[in-house]
Amino acid sequence: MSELLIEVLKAASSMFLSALVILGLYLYARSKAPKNPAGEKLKVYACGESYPLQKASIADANLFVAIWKDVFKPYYRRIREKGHTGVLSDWLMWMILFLTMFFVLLLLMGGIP
Amino acid sequence: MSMPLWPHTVALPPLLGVALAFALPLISLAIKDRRVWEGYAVASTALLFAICSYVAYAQYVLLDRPTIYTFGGWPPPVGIVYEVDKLNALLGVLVSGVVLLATLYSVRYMEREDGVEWYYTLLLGFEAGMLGCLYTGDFFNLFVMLEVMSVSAYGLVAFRRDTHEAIEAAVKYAIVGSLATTLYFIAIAFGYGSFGTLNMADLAAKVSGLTFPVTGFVYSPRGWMLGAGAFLAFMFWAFAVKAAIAPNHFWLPDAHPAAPSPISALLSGLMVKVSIYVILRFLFTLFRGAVDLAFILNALYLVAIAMGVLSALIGAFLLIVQSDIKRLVAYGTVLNIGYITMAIGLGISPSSMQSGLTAAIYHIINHGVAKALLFLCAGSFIHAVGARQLDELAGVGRRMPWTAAFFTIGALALSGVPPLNCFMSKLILMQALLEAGWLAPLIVVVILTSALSLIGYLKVVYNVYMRPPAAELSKVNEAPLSMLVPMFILTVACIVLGLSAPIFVDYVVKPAVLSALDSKGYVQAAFEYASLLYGGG
Repeated sequence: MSELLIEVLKAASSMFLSALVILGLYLYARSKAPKNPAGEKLKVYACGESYPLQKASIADANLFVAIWKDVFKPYYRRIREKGHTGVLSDWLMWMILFLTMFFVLLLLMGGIP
Repeated sequence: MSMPLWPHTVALPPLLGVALAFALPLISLAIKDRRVWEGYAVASTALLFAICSYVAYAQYVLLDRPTIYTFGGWPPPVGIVYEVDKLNALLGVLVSGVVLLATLYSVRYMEREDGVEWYYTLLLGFEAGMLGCLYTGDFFNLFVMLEVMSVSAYGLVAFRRDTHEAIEAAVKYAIVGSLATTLYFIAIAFGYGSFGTLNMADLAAKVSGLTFPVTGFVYSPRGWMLGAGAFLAFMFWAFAVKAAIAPNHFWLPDAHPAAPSPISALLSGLMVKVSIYVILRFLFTLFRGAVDLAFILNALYLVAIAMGVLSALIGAFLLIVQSDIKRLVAYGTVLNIGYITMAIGLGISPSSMQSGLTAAIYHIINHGVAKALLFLCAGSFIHAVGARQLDELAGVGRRMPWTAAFFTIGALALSGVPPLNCFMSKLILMQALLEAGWLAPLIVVVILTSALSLIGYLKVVYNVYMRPPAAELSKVNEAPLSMLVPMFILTVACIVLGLSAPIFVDYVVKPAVLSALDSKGYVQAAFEYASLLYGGG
């Protein structure tokens, strides 16, 4: 178990070092940016029109997961609308399914004498 | 070493918890000062934590066998007994420790709320119910303590009864929870009808072919098999609902976020684990010696694996698309309960049973700590900003650097980033899956869902640190010290439980695992008291 922890610590250190390198690159890039931008440099444009800064950032609903949500749209529809209704009769269906599955497994695995 | 208060100490936490809970409304009538009520609640939970810690210390260090407490001096199987071994003693410390931290946190968190005397009354009742479920050695008394725990939880979810969300969540939770306890009651009927006993040790003895004195008759062999199957099926389903194992998870993302944040921490961090403990106790201790019933247990283990995988996938997929910080964290509970259920399912293979159980118990502790931390941090953000949507929490981490740092560590721990605690328990789970051979492909599920949860939690971290503030945050300040201290302790626990994994697993988790698997020891401890019924006492 101690050897395992050492391996884990090595993995953690390498991840930490990688994160430090990325942070270093980010800070270097920041240092190259103008120190005190003003006026036009701070404005955000979309199609030539000025755009509020708040709207220009990605909404959290799409952050990191826009593509994922699109790819798995049918799956999400199924688990959110059909399998996740919260309606008690639907839940009862799950329970009956479980009990059926359990007793079928019992019969397959040894049967009731 | 003399232990004059032993074994009465074992019965104290649940009984004292209930007594302290009932005393608070009376105290609140006599003393109209909320500082007294808050102090009383903190002192009560601290006392329960001290007793539970002593019980665990005694089980781990001073004693080499489970402790039996007979209520009214009636030996098993006639009277109700509490039976505490290393497993439930360990979980008792987890429960009482996290409740103490949540109570301390509640003092400032609930400062703007009225009716806090009822809040603390329900909180103490909730703790007493959880400890009763853990310590009891009688499966009907388990039903009673389950109701004590559940009814308190329904009340706590509905505490903010002026909001429609809390009322809807509480009603939904109460209906589903009551159905679950009714199912457990049906299970008890099958169990008692088949085995002629309500005592857990007597049940374990009977399925192994032993007999306690003055016990009920076992039904005919055919009925015994059918009855045992029905008992296990209903018991498993009832506690799968309480533990929110998919497809029984649908109530959790409504109920847990609707409650005040310290209660969300207890519901997600502890209550679901108590239900998991009951499943563990029945499958690994009480029915372990049942050679004739092995095929029933194997069927149940298979179902547990299927439900665990489903739970992990549903939890992870739905976690990453949430915009409400508490719902996001709540779906993480569904995900992690999936891991624990998969680990329980590993009981199907003798080669992986012990490591699976180690993973399950270690992850119960790790997730309990980390999830409580995330809910407390989320609660601090909500307390400061007054909003739960991630968009509205944008930039709050810059004003609350300590809380945001604690949240980040908790999120990384739950996502399985080494060397934090949940990584270590997931690693043991993956090793156990490898040991099981044919279940090794399920490692992909663990890795995929961990990666998804990391994406989900990073959304929160990105929002609170990186995004420009959505609203005026100049009046937002860091959480007060009494809220920061519990979060700090839980953060340290996440780091220490990970870094000390070899020691913690060898000296704390493995003895609990061996204790859980020691069916004979569990029976023997009770049998010595039962032999008094022969007239030997």
